Amino acid sequence: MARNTSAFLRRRKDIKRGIRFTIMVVGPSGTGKTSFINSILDQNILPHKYQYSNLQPSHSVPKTITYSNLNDPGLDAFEFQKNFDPALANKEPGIAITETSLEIIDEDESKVMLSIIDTPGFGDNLDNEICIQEICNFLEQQFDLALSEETRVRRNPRFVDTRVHACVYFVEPTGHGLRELDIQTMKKLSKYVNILPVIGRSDSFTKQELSDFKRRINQDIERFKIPTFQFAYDEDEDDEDVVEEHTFLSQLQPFAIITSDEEGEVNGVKTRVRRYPWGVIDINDTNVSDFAILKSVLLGSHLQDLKDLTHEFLYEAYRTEKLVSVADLRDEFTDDTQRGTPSMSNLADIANSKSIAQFGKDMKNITNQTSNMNLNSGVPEMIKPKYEMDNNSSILNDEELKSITGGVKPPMPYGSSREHSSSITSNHSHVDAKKMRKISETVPYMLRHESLATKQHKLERLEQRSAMDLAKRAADLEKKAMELKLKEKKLREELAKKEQLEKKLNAMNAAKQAQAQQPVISVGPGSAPGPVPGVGSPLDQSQAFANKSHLNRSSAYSSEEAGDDASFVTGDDQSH
Amino acid sequence: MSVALEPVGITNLPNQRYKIVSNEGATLNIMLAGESGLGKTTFINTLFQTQLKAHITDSQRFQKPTAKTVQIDIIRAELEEKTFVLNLNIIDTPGFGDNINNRNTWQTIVDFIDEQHQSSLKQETQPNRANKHDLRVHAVLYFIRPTGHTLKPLDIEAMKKIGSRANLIPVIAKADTLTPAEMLEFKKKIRDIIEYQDIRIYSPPIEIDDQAASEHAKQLIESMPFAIIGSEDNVINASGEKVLGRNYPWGVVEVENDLHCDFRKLRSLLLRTNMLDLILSTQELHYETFRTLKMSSTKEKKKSVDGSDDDVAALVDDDDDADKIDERIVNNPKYIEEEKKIKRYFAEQLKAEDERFKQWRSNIQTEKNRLNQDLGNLQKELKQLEEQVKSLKEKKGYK
Repeated sequence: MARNTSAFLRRRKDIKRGIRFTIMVVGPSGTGKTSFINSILDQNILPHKYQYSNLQPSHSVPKTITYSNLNDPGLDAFEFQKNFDPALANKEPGIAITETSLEIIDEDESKVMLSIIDTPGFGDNLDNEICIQEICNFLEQQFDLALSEETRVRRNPRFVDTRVHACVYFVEPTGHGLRELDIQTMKKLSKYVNILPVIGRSDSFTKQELSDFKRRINQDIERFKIPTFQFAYDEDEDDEDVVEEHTFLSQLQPFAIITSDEEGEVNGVKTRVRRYPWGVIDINDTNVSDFAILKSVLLGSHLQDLKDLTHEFLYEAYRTEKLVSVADLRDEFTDDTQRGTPSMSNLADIANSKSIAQFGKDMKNITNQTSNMNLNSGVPEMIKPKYEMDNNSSILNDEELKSITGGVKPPMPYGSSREHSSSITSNHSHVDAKKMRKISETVPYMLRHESLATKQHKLERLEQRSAMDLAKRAADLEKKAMELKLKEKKLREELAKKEQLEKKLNAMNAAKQAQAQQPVISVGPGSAPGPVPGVGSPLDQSQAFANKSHLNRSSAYSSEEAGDDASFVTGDDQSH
Repeated sequence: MSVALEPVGITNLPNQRYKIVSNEGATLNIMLAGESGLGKTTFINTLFQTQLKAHITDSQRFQKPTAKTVQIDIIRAELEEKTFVLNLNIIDTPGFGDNINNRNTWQTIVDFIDEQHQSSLKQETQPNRANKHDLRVHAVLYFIRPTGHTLKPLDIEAMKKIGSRANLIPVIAKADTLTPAEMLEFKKKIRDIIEYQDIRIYSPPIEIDDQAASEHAKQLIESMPFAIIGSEDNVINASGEKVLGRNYPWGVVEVENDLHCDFRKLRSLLLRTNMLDLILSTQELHYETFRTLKMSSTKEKKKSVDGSDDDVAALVDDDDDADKIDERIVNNPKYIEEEKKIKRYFAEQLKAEDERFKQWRSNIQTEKNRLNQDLGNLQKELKQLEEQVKSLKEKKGYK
């Protein structure tokens, strides 16, 4: 088939350039995300939580892309987890998104440029709503970047596709089922990424418990309609091997994995092991752990499938939705902007003259053209029309999405879909290139505007928070100053009293001395000088103390003010 | 002939006491706290070697919504060992920490502990207090997820709150997923956090005069927090014995093996050596603290209300129960949040009504002005007409 050859061609070209593949690991801390990455690459690349103080040469430190924290705007979950501090353990880490990039070179010299996205802090907060939101935002941003690049007239030859192709979601090994956090996260993320639910640390289950747990998870996935990645097949179309493999894999889902950082030997074979007093586990043993299977699925057999699915279904669905919504926006815009603006009015005209569904067709038409111009393969794009015909409604609900994700097998014969698309093309051939060009010019602008707006919003929120923080600190400082002033006043009063006392004493002493000079009545001369230093020394002390407290106050002031400034500056830096 | 002096018999007092206690039996209340799926149910079944609590079945799972609230489940059991009866109350807290937003989920647990102290206090002040019903929590087992990293903020917050009210015993659940080295590291981190965060946990008293007992207590303290494994099944271990354990493809984990976990130490702490101390310290420390706080706060309140200083007994009688519940509700963060929401809603409504009223008033004002103007116009017209009539008349008269 023509499609196959061109796909093959494209793939060969990809291999030459190196395949870019992005995996995201999401899951509560302590489910074995870091170990999983280290095991899958078979080298200890990522340092563990709290192990950043003794980095090995093989370690590469991930870099933070974005982070968010409601309670403590300056706290980065990734920095936070570098070092263990029991005094800060009760702070909510927020969430960060970090990236590690590396290249793997296979035996057949094919190069894979792997990016690993980690989400430290996920599930560690009291309220984890923000985690889901942040991850969704991140994924959407990557789609936006790709979209704005795609719709651009002149493309950036060095554009890097940062879309995430697979998300390995680690389910906590509870033995009960999915929890609210798992369900919500997977549901929301499934719009942007292929989700592979995985049971982390499955060495806490006996065989029976594990099969029970798997059954329960599958029940939950079905019940809550979570669109996870399916190993679908078509008995008529696919050859036997594929059918067999996929039935095996889908029966195995969700994969239960055991991972380890410790290398060892089992039966003379070098592998990774977990050593317990009661036995040794070989993580590559498929009888006890699905790790080896998952590894081959992710980095071998289904790598291209995952990439294709991301591009052809998830991204397409997102794109349709986005462009339709942008068109809607324009519709609203035209009300208050004058019609003379070149691009907006044109778009609005298009949107107005046809139904939204037809507009969708227009857009598709455009992609076909642009992709023909710019991508070396136009034929695979033909699958898109089929899908878009099915889902003309712009907003997808989860069920529909599931059907898409499940649609690795093409249920419709290609011929009909191609006819379809060709008919569409003929129908709307009058949509001239000029209009399209205008769309391609405005869409990236709109997208950028949107992302800028969200950024602005985030920034404002941060600023508000830091302003509040600052006000609070200022109030605290004022309070402290008041206290100090009071203290000073008290000390002054005491000082005055003491001075008075001293005066009196001096007067008395003088009187005494005067008396002592009189020969008749004599008081013990030793007792007279006694009280003077006795009173004098505490006075000196109190004076010194007053000075000291004065000094203290000023130093406290300056240091705290400096601290304020610093925090303010950092806050600013982050927002930029 | 010397008379064989019969001992007076004071030494029999302990025996008498023993008789009373063995006739009465004892009450032990254990609370289980921690996220679901950490083996709370399994542990309790393992501890008493009977099926005290059934596991959740598949059909039960879907009866509850996914967003759960913390519940309190109490299981009563009467255990009999060699004619000694132990009244056991297991308080389970399903749903803790299972949601996306876990703020204040510990409130239910804390409330329960306080309520039991409260009811105990009330029962004590009743005239007839022979059949007291005691549900005060003697020990709280807090289950920690074996992440190998650290405690979550949720754990720390909940443990702080619980530790100040009852005997808190932290345990690391499902200890068979951490290798010995990882376990050591994890325990050290937890101990550090407990120390730095001022979490009060129960520690067995060290008796100086009893060498063996103090040695045992020291050993117990050293192995805190206990790493435990639970199992309800008997399996055959490597040496062919039938033991309580878990059968993995890579080996058999024995529950009652000190090399594998601290289960025996925890059982010894809970039942064999320190049960009495748990019960007594609840009475003497936690209940007393609660009582002192309660009494002094009611006293102060009373004082500030009417300025008189009555005796305490009268105070407690006077102080209505409703009043106390009120206080608890007032301080409950959940209610505070709700209250805020309602207040905000009320304020909004008020504002809207106010606005409407203002609008209405201004409408009336304009209406009034309009009418006044109309009236003025009419009057003017009337005047004009009158003048016209007058002039006409004058004209007529002139003519």
